[in-house]
Amino acid sequence: MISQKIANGFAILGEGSLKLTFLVFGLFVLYLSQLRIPLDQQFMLGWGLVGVLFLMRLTNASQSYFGRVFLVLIASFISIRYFVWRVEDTLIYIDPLEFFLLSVLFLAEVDVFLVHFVGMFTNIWPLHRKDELVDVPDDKLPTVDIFIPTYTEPAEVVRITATACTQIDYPNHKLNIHILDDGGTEQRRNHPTLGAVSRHRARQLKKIAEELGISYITREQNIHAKAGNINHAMKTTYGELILILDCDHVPTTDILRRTVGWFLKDPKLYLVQTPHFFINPDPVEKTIGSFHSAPSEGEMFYRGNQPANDFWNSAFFCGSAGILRRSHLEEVDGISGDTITEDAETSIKLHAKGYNSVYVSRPMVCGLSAETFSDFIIQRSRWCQGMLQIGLLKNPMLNKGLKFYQKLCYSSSYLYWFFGFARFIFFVAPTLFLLTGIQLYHASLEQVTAYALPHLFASFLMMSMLFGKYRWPLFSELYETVQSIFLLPATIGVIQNPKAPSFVVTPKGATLTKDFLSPLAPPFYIMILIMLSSLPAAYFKWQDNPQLHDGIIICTSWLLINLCIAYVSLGIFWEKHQVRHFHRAWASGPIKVQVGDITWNGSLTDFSLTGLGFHLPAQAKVNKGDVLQAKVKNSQGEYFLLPFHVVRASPQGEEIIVGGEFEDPEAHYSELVHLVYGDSQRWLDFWNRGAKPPSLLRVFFDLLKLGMKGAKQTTKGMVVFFAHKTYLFFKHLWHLVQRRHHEI
Amino acid sequence: MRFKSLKALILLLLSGLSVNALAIKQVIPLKDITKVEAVQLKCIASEYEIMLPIPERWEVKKATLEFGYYNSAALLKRTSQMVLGLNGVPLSQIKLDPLAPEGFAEVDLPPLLLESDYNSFRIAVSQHYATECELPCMPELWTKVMMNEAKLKVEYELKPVPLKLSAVSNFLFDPKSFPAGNVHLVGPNKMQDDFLTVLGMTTSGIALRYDYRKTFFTYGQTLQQGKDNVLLGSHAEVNRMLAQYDLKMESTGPSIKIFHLPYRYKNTARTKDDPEWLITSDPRFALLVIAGDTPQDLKLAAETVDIMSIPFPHSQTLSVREFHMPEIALYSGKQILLTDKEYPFRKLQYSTRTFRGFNAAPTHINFRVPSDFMVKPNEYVELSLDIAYGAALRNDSALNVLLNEHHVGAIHLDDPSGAIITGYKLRLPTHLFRGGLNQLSFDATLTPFVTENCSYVQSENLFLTIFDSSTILFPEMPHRVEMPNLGLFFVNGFPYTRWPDGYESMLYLANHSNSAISSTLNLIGLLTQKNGYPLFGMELTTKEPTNYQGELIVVGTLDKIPQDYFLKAPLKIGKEHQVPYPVFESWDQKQALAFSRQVSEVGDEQGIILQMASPYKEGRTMTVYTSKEEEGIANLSKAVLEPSVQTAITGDLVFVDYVYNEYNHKLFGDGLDYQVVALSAGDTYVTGKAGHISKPDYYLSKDQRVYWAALIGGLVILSLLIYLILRRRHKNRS
Repeated sequence: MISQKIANGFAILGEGSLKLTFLVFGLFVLYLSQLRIPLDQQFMLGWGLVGVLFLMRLTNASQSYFGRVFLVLIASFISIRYFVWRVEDTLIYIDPLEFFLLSVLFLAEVDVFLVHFVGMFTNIWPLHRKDELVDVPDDKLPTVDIFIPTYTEPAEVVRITATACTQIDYPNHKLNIHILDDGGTEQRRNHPTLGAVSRHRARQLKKIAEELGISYITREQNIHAKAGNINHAMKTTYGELILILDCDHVPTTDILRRTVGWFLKDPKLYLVQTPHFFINPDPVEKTIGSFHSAPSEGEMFYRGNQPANDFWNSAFFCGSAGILRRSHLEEVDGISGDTITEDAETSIKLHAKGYNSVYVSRPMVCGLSAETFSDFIIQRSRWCQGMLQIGLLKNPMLNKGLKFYQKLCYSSSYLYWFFGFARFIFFVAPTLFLLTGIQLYHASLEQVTAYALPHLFASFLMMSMLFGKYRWPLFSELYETVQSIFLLPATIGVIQNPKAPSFVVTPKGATLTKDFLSPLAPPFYIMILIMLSSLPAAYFKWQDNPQLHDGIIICTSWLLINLCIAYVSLGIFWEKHQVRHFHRAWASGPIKVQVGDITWNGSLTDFSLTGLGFHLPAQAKVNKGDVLQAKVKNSQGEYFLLPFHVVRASPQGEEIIVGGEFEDPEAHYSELVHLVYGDSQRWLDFWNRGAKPPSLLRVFFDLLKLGMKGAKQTTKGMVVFFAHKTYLFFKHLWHLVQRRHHEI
Repeated sequence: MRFKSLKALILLLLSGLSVNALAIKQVIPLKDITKVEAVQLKCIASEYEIMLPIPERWEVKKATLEFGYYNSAALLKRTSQMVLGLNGVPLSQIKLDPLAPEGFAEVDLPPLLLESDYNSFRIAVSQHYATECELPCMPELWTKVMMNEAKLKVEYELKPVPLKLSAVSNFLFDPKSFPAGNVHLVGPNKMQDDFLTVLGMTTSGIALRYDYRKTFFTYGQTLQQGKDNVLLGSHAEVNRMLAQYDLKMESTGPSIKIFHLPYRYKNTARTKDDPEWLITSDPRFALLVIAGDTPQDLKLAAETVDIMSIPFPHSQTLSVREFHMPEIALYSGKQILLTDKEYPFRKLQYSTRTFRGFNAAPTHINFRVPSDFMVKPNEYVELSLDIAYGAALRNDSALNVLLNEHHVGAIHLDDPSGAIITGYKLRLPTHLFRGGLNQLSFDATLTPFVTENCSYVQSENLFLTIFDSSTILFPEMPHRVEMPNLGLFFVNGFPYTRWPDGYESMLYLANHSNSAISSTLNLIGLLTQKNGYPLFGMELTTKEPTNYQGELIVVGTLDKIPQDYFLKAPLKIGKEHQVPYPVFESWDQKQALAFSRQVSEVGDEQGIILQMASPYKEGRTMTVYTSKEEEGIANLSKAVLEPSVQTAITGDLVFVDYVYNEYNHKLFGDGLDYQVVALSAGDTYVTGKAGHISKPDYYLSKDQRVYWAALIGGLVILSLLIYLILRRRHKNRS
């Protein structure tokens, strides 16, 4: 490797000389990036560099870290040139309104640019730590408290998590498990309307705690929400380490064995964070059916961003699945509660005090995604508001204790959440021009081709290179677009009053009995209608304003892209029914099934606390209603014998697909929890299921196909929705008429 | 003695009378007098106007305008006619005969109607193809007037020059003088650079008074008859010259005085005691004397002459005490629009104009933008128009806006009740404008509301007014242009007039003869007229400038120009020439050039203009005017005064040859024509606002390969450094 040799040559430079040389060349490249060259040369430069990126991507040059750095620099160079041009050439004052809107669009771009730019550098070298079990005698292990904070979630959800906690592989005398019930506080139990429900739920949770031999803790008042709940529990517990688990985050048995070792190695370590793994698809995945084939939305954060943050000692606490050192936490008075993202806020404080964090990139808790689009938006609004609060109230850049790279990492995290604002602006900008003539982007087609398109392509290629394994092309656009219009009020709200947002729990474990149109759909549909109306406006503008042809081409192309994304998003607002109480978890591996005298070898496809799915050879005579027994092995070599009855058996080619329900699952509850949730290797296998990202075009057409399906469903839903509303209106009218008649 | 005096007086009177009685006859192509074109007059009524200048000093005895025309063969002779009028008075009416569609008009312009000013000559047609039931704008309704081939025959006498210095501003150097101004400058044979610079400055001032009118300058040591003379020098020098004519400059210090042009003639009726030469003066021409004993005094006097733009003073003599010029800014020359500043049309010499009737002639606004504007495609010039239009206009009426003769916008006149609109915004992309001179035109198409067949067509309501309160606003634009570009030189003298007074520019005369100086003065005159500001800051020198840091012009024969100058030239001239030959037609002319090294001769008369990067300073320019002989340079300096030659000059290498044009000869009696070949053959460079850019900027933006190399090199090294820093960190973290 020539680069390696040259790098070794540079290695003789001392730290100071290295940084000085870096500064000199950095300034030189910055100087080149602002140098004005003719447009045709810029065209060659922009596309030439995109070509270099593309070739390096094709030749896998980006696999080496040097290649990665080089590509990041090229992409940054293209983007900086774009921005220099954008500032120098396109910000033109015409009139106050137009300039205001133009500035808003520019601000949106600045946000996206900063997120992209800082994101590239923070993600330049993700740290993938060795995944190993702690290898010290039990008596040397630190004592651990497990906190399961809960508020209003169903007791059944808490029961699974608590049961799984009791199965964690850790010396019993060093482990204490606590259900922290904020739904059963004195305040809530005495509430005139909520009291009965709260008392009933508290009794259920106490009973679960007693059965499992764990502790139940509650308090008088619900002060500072989750943070207050944990801090209250810290006063009555004494473990050296604290594992915090959301009540729907079911841990695997190895979660402590794979994390506490880091605390023994580094006394300044305050946090080991592990990923959140979700067993069910979120509403978007459910709609586009990508849960099993494409990486989930969270994977980009937990597989891409957090390892990258870890490199910069900036991996932060995510509210759950994190182990914290009590002594360090106590130094900052426990979990912070000034913002509604108490996790990140606490991390900033501890990082600022010079403590370290580690991220272990192995999923060891299994949680539930939001079931409906409304719940999804509630969850995202909380994250959005919380992270923006961090930016506004606890700005990392102003925090003297943080290192500059930590400031950048935290800033990148909160700046990202302006995407609702940015996406909304990108959505309306072309429509605004086509409908009203307000031009927010003063550029010719040639300039856009020479500056903006290379910047877009380079950004896209870099996203694909940095996160391609965890995020397929266009998925970010889709997710961000559907959220944008709903996050905008949350964004504006928190900017207006940063202290106002309060903690809202994401509803979990809901079941949907039928398909229905999300109540959030109308604003989105109205926006699409407005965008559609811009198309004829574009036509007439083209006829009437020959001098604006460039602008019309740019805005119409932009609008069409927006419409495509909106079109694909249509189906997301069509909520699909969810009948299973317990989600089936993906599974793989062999299964032995006893049918009569013959034991058939099959392959497992999924299971849950109530049933399982597998494939058997077609020769196995399995019929609906048969009571059979299955033998399954987990990655730790433990065998499970599971009696079940067949509820579905459908032949498919040379196989038969079987679905079964366990016989008396309550009797095997603990065993089933252990089987379904206890094995982290299975979550890891799911992550590494090896789905290679398809090409951009393939994804685009697949999404369009899905869009068509979604559009059909939506149209049907809209018809039903309006028919229902009309029916209700006439019904109301009829009642009024009748009442009047009766009065007369 | 008394007899002698009487005799001399009689002779003088006779000679004076003979001079005064000498009427001048001229036949001049109209295109040499004013801007004209072949124009098609359409619809049932249409007209075309030209402005005929008559100089103050002319007393016109007779004037005739001749032009040809073609009319449609579909016209109805009885009702179709052309009316020719001067200053609002109809002079002639010509029937438009469909059976004789090619006509020739010869109109006598009564001297009484011709004012010493710009005279409006209008050609109005009324055209019909039927006596009733007529559509007003049928395509058959047209007459084409060939004003581009028109001739003006004029016979005039010159009025005596008033012996007042105020004559400088409105009588002597009058842009209405056609076909050209002629001025002779008189000074010493051998001169210092200081004097040469003052000479250039004086020329510049005179050229500026002549405004757009082509002006020929000559230089010599004696007075020349038949043209105005300007004598420069110290009091001793000018008095030595004046003494030959019994004249004297009494004043001291920087001073100016005007005389009738004196001359000596041989006494043919002399007796023994009579002098051989008699002295008299020609009152038709002036001798303007500019005197100063020190170079500063002389400069002060010359500068004062240059700025005499109003008729003051009425005295014959003026002693200058002090002189102040207004502060000038970069790019603030003639008619130049500054950026980010709103200009009402009235400041652009536009007065409120009302369009009436069908096919009213368009109106134009001329202005300049700096030649080195870096035109960005996404910026707009904002026009804010205040207009009013009449009622009962049909829905297809519109006001069209043209820029440099190309349609760029329109206002739909769609209110049948008429309207007055203030601040109608039209945004024109800046890339439609060109560096230098631009013309914004407004062309109204007005159609009456009722035009049905057989209905009475009311055309009296067809009104549209564009008020002079309308404005134009140029956005802020950077200055950066790729050079060489001789085209810009002939637009506004760029880059020599970046500072309007020619500051940071030098003109080097490689030859020192009168002819070479005359040629140089012609160039200075041209530059001034293009620039619209006297070139007080331009230095003139006869010594080879070494290491000059500004913009340089070199005038001289090939053998006198230092060979080093040709190192960066598109045409390398020396013992062996390196000549570029275009081999095929290509979008990129440089790609199509073959270069021949040869030993050959440049033609005696062939003029060559080259432009290239200055050998002394990056981003600066050197322009060379050269020929093999001095006569060639003289011819070249005259040729470049011709608009047709100026238009053809582009690129960085121009050859001007003199050819015979039979068409011109037959039409106007003068067959001299110019053949201009222009190429882009040399290396390019970039110049910015201050005239130069930093060395790194220069090299990196000049050659894309250098930029790429620097970029890739920089990125690779930076990547390695970052990689190394990160690798160290990775070791610490994992």
